[in-house]
Amino acid sequence: MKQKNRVISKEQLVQPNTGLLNLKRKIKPHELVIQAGLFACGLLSILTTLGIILVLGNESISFFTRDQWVNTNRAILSDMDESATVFAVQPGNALEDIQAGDSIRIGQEVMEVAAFQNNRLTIDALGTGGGFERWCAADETLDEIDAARPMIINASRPIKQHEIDRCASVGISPIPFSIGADALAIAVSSDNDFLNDVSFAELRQIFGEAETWSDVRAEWPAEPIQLVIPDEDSGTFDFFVARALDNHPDAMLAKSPITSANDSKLAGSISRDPFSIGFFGYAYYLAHADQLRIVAVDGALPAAKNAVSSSYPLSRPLFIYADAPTMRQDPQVAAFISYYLANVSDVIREAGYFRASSAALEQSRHNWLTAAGADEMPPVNPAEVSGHLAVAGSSTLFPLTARLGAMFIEDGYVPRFEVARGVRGESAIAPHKQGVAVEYNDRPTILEFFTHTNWIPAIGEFGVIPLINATLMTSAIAMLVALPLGIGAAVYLSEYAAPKVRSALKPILEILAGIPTVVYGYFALSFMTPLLRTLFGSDVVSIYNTGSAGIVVGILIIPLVSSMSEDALYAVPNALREASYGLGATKLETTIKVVIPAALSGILAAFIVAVSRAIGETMIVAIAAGAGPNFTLNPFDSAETMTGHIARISGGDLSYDSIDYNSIFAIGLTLFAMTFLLNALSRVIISRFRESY
Amino acid sequence: MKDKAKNKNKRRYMPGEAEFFKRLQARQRRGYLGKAFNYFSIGVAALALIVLFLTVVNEAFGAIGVVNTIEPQTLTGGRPLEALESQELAQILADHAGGRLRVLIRDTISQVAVDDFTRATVAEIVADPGVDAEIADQLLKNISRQQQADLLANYASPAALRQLVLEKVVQQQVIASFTLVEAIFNFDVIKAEIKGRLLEAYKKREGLDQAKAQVIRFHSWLNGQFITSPMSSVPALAGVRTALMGSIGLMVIVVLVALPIGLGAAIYLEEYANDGLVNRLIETNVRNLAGVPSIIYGMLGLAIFVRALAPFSSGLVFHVNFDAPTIDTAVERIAPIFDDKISFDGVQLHSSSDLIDAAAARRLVDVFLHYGTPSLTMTGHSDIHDMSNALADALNTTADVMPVSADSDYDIETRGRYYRFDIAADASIPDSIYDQLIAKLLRINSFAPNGRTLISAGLTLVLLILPIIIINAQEAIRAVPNAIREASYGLGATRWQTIWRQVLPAALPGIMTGTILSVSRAIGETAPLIVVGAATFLLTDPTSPFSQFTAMPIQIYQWTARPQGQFADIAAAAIIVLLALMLTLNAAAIILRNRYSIRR
Repeated sequence: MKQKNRVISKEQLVQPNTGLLNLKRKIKPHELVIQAGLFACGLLSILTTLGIILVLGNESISFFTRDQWVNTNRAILSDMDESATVFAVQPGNALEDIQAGDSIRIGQEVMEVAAFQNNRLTIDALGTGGGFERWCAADETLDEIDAARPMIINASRPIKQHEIDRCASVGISPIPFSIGADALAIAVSSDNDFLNDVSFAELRQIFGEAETWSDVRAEWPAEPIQLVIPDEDSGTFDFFVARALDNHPDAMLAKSPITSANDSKLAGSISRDPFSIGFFGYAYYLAHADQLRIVAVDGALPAAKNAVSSSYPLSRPLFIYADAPTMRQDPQVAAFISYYLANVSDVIREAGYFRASSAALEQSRHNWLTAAGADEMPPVNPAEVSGHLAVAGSSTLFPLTARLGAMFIEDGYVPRFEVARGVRGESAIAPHKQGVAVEYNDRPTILEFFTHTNWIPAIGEFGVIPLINATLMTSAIAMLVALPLGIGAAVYLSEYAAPKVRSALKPILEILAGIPTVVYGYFALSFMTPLLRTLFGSDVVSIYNTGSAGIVVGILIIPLVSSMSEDALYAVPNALREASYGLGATKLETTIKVVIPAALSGILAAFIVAVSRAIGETMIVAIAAGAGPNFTLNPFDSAETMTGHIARISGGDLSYDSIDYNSIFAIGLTLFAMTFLLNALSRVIISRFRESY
Repeated sequence: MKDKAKNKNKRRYMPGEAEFFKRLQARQRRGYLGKAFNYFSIGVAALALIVLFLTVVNEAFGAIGVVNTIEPQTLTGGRPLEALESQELAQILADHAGGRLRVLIRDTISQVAVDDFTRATVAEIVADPGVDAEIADQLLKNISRQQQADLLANYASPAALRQLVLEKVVQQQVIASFTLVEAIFNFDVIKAEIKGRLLEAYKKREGLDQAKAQVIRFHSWLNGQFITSPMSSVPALAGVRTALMGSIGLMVIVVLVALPIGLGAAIYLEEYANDGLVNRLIETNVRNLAGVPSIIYGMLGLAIFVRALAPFSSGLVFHVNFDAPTIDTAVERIAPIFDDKISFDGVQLHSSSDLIDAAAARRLVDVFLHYGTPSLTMTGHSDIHDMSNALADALNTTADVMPVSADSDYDIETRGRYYRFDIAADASIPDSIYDQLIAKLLRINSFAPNGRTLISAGLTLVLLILPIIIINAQEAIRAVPNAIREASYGLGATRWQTIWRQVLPAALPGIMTGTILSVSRAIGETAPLIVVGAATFLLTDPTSPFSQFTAMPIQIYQWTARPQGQFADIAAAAIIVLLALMLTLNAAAIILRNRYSIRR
């Protein structure tokens, strides 16, 4: 009973550790465990986020770092056996992308490229003058890509003194190799019965001052001379003008000659008119010999016994030029010239030119021996030649050099590479077959990922733009639908609707929001697409199209936009509305000019969240937007979105060890980053720009 | 000019009366227009909902044109099928589907695993030691057709037999389907069209009983059979039972796992957390997670639950689905696949049968290596490629220790690819390499743990809806008046006692509502399930969390993606089932909300 009256001081009551009311002491161990457990539950959400970032990041890293084997389909290896380490590429196939150090795969085997000889021959037709000009150009005017210094020059005339001087200034001393000769043919119509032979002086008159045939020789008819000549741009024209007209073509051109770049037209013109006369390259004359008659000049025809006549005044020698240091440094140049000299006489007739005299050829061989610093000229095996060959110069000589180049390649001058065996084993597993393609490894780069416009994993094209483009298109269409309608619905619910109506309509929006998206996908495919096809024509609208998917995504997010916007509108205090009404504003004016601005941050946040939702939406686009990436801006075309692609690829029996598996994570990371940024943005907007009342 | 400007100014401040009313009217007109637009907006939303439902209903019900290969009446002599006894039904099956009786037995009454079926005795198959002693120890293929029919009659229910008769003998075929609208408004037209198609069908197939063919009838794709049948590749016979069971399974996992964790997190955030950095981070993070697209969760689930936790999610660590695989079980399993076409010592192996699949091919590799076959020649079609690729892969890895060569060529006779692998006869495989090889093979073959199971999908969905559950529960807890907490503290209760005995009971209706809504969202999710790897064609119900599974939305997606019209019809029917399921859940939530909110 005594105790009943006991007074407890405040100090006694709350004394730490001993006080009667010490709540701290009462925390029992099991409560701590509970608290820790609850904290762990909260922590799980952070783990989830970390998990998402780690998983997406990790797989994306493997995507960007894994070797994928790309079948080039270009390099066809001609012959392969187990012991071979050098592979030649068949003519006509290029291998630009392979470098020493790359891995390639032939058949089942992975090999490292030890050395790669990208043997190729380029021949530029620049004209003889152009060829010499580039050959002897100053270093700074050259560039590696379109104007590298050629090694061999095709020339249809001897080099001129000023060109020699110029070459000397860059340290090149041109060595000529005479390889043949070209001659011009003077031809008349086969109907012409008076012109049988002509002297060189008379020829100069015919193509010069003379107006009529009788002006040249009295017994010839008094008919005007009709000249038929090749184009002024051609080397043939230049050659004729220089040789026959002392570089003064004015009189000839004054006589209104028929000109053409097409030799059959020239031949046709001559054959139709018995009083016409013209000149061609001898090869072109041969091609039209049935319509034309060749005229001897100074009693000589261009060719006798297939060799150029030394007495024929309209013949010219053909050369190739090179210089000694190059030939010694780049053995392939010496080899090609040697091959050229050895074989040119066999093929030159087919090209329409004439063999060089044996003395000239002998001189060329002598020049070669001197330049190469060798005592003899052994036969060249092109299969042992490596290195780039650049030829430039005369277009007259082009076909001949091209012909010899083709022979050179056929005989084995092809790209070839040497491999180190046994990157994955000592020997080949299976004897390789002819015609096996080389595959080389290629890693998709981040730059390529974001800039290329093709997504074709099968051939190693990984450009995410078409997928992003489709995603943005469906989202934009969805926002065009959802934003006005969602805000309209929100305004209606918050400003116009009677409470009863409001409480009846809100559940409708909730139901709309609760329907699974796969059902919306079904709706898009079986209602919206047919509707669009009826409206715009089924030839315009594809069965799968981004338009239909976008509209339905829009319908899906109307409830989201309207409920978030409505919350924002509802939060605007009535005092603002009443003030506006008091000033005589109508309801619409109040809504648009007062309530919506006041709620703008909320509406903006709703908009951004809705965009993020539209971007992340999967099933509607997977069902209705189409399968297969397609870079298009046409909303009636089918195009696959990022989410649709992920769903389709992972829907199959996806192998974990494939580039496809990794690639969907790279897309997923992009998607995650996009939505995450948008969501964060919306939260910033809400907290920063919120008008609070 | 100046005058005009002045005039304008004047008007702005002081319009005349007529002007004033004119402008007022214009403003009011604009007001009406604005109002009209707002009505229009809400109208479109409501209309969309209505049209959506109508579209679904329109497809789910309608008219169909049917033909039967054999009319039931001709089978039964005029009696309705329902009146027949088991014995008679089995007899019909034996008469008309004789060659397929074993398959029917396997699919209906067999109690042994499909893989073991061909090697099981009759007693094992029916799991009844009391079966006729004469056949008990026989293999099924060695007993007579009559005996097989008797087995069916004795062990299958009449309903199942009737179904089999319809499916295999009557072979009812839907040749055309029409939507509800078409069926109601255009009945005559479609009747004529169906007649036309019917004639075509008769032209194409002989033996159709033209006279008695049922031409057209109303049909509800949504019916009892639809709910209770498993998947089928024939739309008219397909059902959603497997998918429905899968969805229910998912729902159970989600509730069991997500509710406690979500609730725990919410309690922590609302009742315990101070305003520290970590707690704010958690709070923000939960809100961020709620905005992550669901397919991203699918990818998370794929990488974590399906792959990284495969031993767990496949049930391997619990020994649920299979014992740890050995090379002997591999060999054991392969035998029935090749029946007697395989002999291990030769080896000539030929199979163009469609029984070979990629998994079988991989098992073959096991066999091959197990027996150390000196050389093996395989010919066959399509899947043989997989087989040989798997073999080549396996051999590749050991090429440096095992002299092996492989060759392949086109075989004209079998019109397939021909593969030949030779291991040098004197090759001896070192034990260590052999073990490695087996380990590698076991990882690639179908005995490897497959994490694409119900539990993986369930946990993925848990992660997906956790943020929503947490946010909802937080709101419910926040709505509990502080007075209750203070009263509880005032009576000397600890914090946990307060939470457990006062706050939670008061917040429970709100929490339950939020949870139910979240769960209903979870069972409607499709994208994550696709990524996690729901099976697309599954005949068996999930039996454990470690079973393969499919789910309602997956089924709808599958059917929607198919071109044939009848799949759109059953997709619509499945949508109705799914919506009904969700509606039930939502109704439960609303009832909870209404009943308990009165108390507060």
